[in-house]
Amino acid sequence: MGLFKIGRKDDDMPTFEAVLKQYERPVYWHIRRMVVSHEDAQDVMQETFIRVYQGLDKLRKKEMLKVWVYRIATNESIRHLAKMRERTVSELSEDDVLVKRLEASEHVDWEDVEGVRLQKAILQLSQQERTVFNMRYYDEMSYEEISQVTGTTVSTLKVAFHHAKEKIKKELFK
Amino acid sequence: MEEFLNNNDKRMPYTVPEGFFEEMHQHLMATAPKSQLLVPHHQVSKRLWMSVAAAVLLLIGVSFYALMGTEKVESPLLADQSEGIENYMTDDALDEWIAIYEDKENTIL
Repeated sequence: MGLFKIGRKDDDMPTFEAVLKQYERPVYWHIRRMVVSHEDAQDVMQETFIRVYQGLDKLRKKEMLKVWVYRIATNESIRHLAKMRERTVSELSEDDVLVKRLEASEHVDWEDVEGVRLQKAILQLSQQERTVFNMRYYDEMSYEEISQVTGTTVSTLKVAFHHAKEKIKKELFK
Repeated sequence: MEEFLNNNDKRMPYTVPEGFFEEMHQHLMATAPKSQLLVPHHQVSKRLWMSVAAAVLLLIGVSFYALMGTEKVESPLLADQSEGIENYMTDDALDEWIAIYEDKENTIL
């Protein structure tokens, strides 16, 4: 996918500060839903925006900005989760580890019982299902945008989203 | 469930410390420009190894080219062939040798 197509750069490409203002909150929440802990999300967010700063000059098309920023954030989150897996010597699966992190997290509104149950159900999905569900449900991205972010075909994403919904339904109403 | 998932008030129990986004904004605005100078450690190592590999390859290339150049000037094969060339018979010497040989042959017969 040509995010960095050779050609003239869009004249109205936003500055780093404008990009930060526009995306800092949605990107933080996107990362937080993936890595769960606030402290980890903070680190991944910082790494994400440093990469955005370093690459913004090379980005030619303004309309690819959102996809590009989300792609960096998603990749950084996945990289962080992989590092976490390497460090953790445990019999637990990744979803169990993430649920434990949610339970141990300080920055959670425990009074939102339904919200916590939904998050636990989401954390038990596969990484692909979790990513597509979060981007579709919370970030309200189109399948085309998610496809560009994840490099997965639209039909695969539709199937993954359908499975994710079925699994969440089963988990919430069992 | 469909209603729950389509609800605009989407359930998200995660919270952040107060003033987090403002602090993070300031922090990123201050640190991101400096990050241009701070190349991550793994990238430094990669660049360093690539430079060393390139230098070694270049050295091998230059040495090989130099050796090939030397051989072109003084190839051992050519040197062997040229050695003793002065001992080869000239046309005159050959004629003389044939004459002697013919004399000897005639004597024998």
